[in-house]
Amino acid sequence: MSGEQKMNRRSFLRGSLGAAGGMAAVAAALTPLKDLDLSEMTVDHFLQKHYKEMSPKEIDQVIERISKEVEERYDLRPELKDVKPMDGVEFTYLLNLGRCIGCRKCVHACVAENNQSRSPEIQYIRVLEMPRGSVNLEHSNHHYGDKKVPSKDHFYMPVQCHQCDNPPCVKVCPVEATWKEDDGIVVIDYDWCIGCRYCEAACPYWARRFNFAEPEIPKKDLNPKMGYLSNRPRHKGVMEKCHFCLHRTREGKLPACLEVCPVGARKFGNINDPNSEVVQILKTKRIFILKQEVGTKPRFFYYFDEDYGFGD
Amino acid sequence: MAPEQNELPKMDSPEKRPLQYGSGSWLLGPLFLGVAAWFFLGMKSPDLPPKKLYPINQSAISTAPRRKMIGVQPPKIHINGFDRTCNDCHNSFKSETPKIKGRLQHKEIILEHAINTSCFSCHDQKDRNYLISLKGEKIEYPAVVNLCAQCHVRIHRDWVKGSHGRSNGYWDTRKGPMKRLKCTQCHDPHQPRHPAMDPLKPLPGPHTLRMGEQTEPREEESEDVLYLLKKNGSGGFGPKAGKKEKR
Repeated sequence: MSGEQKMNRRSFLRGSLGAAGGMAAVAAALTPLKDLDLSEMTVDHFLQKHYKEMSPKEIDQVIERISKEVEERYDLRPELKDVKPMDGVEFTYLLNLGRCIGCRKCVHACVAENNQSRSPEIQYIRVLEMPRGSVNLEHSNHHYGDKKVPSKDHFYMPVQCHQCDNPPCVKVCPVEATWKEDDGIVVIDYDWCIGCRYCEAACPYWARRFNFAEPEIPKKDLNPKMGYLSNRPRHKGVMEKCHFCLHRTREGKLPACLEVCPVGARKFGNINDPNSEVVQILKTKRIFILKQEVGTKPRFFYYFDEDYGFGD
Repeated sequence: MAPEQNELPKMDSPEKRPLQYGSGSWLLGPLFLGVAAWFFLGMKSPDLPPKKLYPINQSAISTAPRRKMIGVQPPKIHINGFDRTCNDCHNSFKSETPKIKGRLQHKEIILEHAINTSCFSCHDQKDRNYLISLKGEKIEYPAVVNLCAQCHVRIHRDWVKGSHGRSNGYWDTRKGPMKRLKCTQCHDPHQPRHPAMDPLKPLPGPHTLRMGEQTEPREEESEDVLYLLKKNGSGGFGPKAGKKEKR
């Protein structure tokens, strides 16, 4: 029995090695905590309720907290609002495929308007270049740009969030951080998202983007006109996507991507208003719905002009 | 009795085995203290080099019309600090040559607009501050749309309904005006065809699984029937149509 208490060379080495290895593993696991900036975490933020469960007063408090955080980080007091859907309005977006020349101004205007991260870069709109006479998304070119546009042999299809009426991304969210609003816009509560990226996988239009790193925006380029559900600065680890510029469109304005389109290929309006541009186009033009067969019922339509006979 | 004898060595074995794994346990305390000291006193992880932030070209995404206000207001020329209208000169110099060739002034204008070969197809020969319709009616510059609509009937119809041309401002006209650009604010009436333009470079997005490494579309692998037919000849019925099968 005396051998049990005695520590020999082998047992000492084995024991100390195991303990040191275990400690190293603990230390490695704790490393990310060393970079944690406790000043960014507040009790209010941690205890914040879901957007839909907050009273107007609580929303005001949250907006005040976010405004303060933005001001500290960007030296700029934002005009942060919580814009509600308008009564009797359902938005529709139309894009004239025959007109788009693939200049990507919409992409850049969107980034500037919606305070997307510049590093790593995030864009909501993706312009696909495809050979004329084919709609082969798998072989489309996302990174064209060496030649002038439009190329004679290609056409261009900008794809962004289609704000589906039957949104698969909303169904898969395990925490209900994303939902469809009354005007049809699918929104995300950036403070409720846990970053599981299920919605990104569920979206058939590749419309959702993930903040893999802490977003970086130059201070001078921050757009101070913000909405709670739209373009307020996001944090690392949350999803974001196109929201039809709801801080603009719910106040009657046109989306940023539409306003810069040099060829007027983009049309936006209220589908419940029979005199609106979009209803006129839906009635008279040939309409194409991207991936109609998946049953998402998008609010984003592509359309074509007839051949005018003047070469344009 | 035989089973008992067999079981006995097993029962005894834990007691007989030396306590190898517990013998280094006195080390745990100092190691924990070491980790704690490293965590609280140690340096933060090294700062990454400053990130390159992609700048947004504000002029490239300006919402100003392509040709500003040219064509909507009567053109004006600055001479000796004064704004001159067309008639200020043309009342003195009639210059009524109908042809575009052989002109001595306005040489910078290149006329490439279908059947129009003369200035006076659109400009009023007698009153240069006005445009003129095919019937010989005067058209003011702000009403240039009516001039274009004489030929471009269907595009004008679409422009009126809203599907052609650019809109700015408000979709909800109760809250603010929707500005509709007129023909000549985008198109140069002398050369209406737009030149090809340089695309803004795509912002290199994070590489997600679905983006992957993007190259030019692989034409050989395209299974799109329409595309293959077009590639092999006109509509797939030409002499080149069978070429694909022979290869």
